[in-house]
Amino acid sequence: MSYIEIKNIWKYFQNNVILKKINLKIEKGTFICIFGPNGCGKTTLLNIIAGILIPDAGYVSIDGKKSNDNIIGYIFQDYRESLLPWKTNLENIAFPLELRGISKKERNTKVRDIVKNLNLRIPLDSYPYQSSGGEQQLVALLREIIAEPKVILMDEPFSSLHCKSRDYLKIEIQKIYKKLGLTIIFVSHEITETMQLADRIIVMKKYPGEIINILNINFPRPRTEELVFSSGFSDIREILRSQI
Amino acid sequence: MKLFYKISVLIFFLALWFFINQNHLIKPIFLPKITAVFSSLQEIIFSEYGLKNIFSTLGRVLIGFFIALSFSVPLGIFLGVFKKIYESLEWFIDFFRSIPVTAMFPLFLIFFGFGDASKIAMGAWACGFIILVNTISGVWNSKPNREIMAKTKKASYFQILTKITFFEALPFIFTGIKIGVSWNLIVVIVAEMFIGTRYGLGRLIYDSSITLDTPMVFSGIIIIGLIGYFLNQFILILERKIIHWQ
Repeated sequence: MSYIEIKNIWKYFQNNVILKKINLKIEKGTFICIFGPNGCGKTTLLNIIAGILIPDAGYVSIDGKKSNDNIIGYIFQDYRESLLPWKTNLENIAFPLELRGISKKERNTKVRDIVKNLNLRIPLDSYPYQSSGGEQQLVALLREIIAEPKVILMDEPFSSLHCKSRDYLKIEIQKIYKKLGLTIIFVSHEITETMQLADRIIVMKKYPGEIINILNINFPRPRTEELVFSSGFSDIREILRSQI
Repeated sequence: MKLFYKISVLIFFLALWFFINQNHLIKPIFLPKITAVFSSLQEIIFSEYGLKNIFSTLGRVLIGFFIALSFSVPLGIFLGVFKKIYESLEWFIDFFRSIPVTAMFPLFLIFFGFGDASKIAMGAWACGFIILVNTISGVWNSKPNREIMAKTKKASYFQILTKITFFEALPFIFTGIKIGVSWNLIVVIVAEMFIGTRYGLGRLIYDSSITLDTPMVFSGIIIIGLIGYFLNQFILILERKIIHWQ
């Protein structure tokens, strides 16, 4: 049995088929990108995996349990609306530990350790609104990591960032992913960012939302901006472009 | 620079008053001399009787405010979260908050008597509805992503309410507090005037008006204005400190 199993998912909204017969198996420690045009049901699928939405048919199991029974990491498009502005960056990262009743001292030590281990530069004592967009999204990512989730779901996390923050974050996420061996499901409609990040790209189409192709991406990591101009990269980009 | 403008406005206002006094443009019974008002102010501030009046009013306002706060915020969060319950109670809340509390004087007297309790209860009633409605709006304006984030971390319902929903509603709660405190002060003063009390600025103004002691009436009004102003300033400072992210 696979680590994450998405079995025969159907979802309707007001008699419209949003997701049609989605079947997917994901192994532990892989970076999956769900790619497709706007409105193809990517976020709906992500919400079903997170247990936020209930499918009309089918099921999702993560590590042999229902998704609702697991701790899931979820990174939103708009970091401003998911971070807690009344807490410092450190307190935001430590929030899942606070929910578990871990002492403040222990929480702070754990946060500082993880930031140090991952060699990240985050102004821990500042508030999110005093930090850059890239730093805020990193805070959001660390908050998910510290919760030790079974899977981290990312819903177009770069879409509200400047290009500089975006490039910085792409590299950092790859490093963190490799170092910690995370399982990540990433949603995007950006071809380049999808190819830079994914081990496997799940291509979806809309009306109704269904999987039309699965591509394995084998470029070495970290995948920098230079890779974008290589011939291998262009070939896959053309395949993706032809399918949307 | 801001302070300079503020002081300039005050000086202009006092100068205009002085000019009117000096040229007898308005009869002193309607607009007393500045000096007479200042000596009445001194009389209030530096006498036991005056201070008792100030602190009695202030005490009623503050007690009423804290009672309102302790009821309205939890209830507002509850009704904001459970929208269906709010929808069934909406007409009830709108009905009662539309009735001027002064129209309910007799009811408060029946339930709470002629003592402090009725004045405090009236202030709390007026203030409470404002904080309640604002708290409900605050809950409705909260960002759903924060709640979803907490749910994916297996936060309990109580944790979501106390660690997220409450903070999300805080800016609105403070708006309610600012408006509510002003209303509370108004209602307490009116209640002191009409229900009657031994000490209180409302009573002081009312008694002074009967004896045509206009300087004392003006002094009472000035002190009420200052109490309202400083209460608001204090809340603003508190708001800036607590809701630093706004």
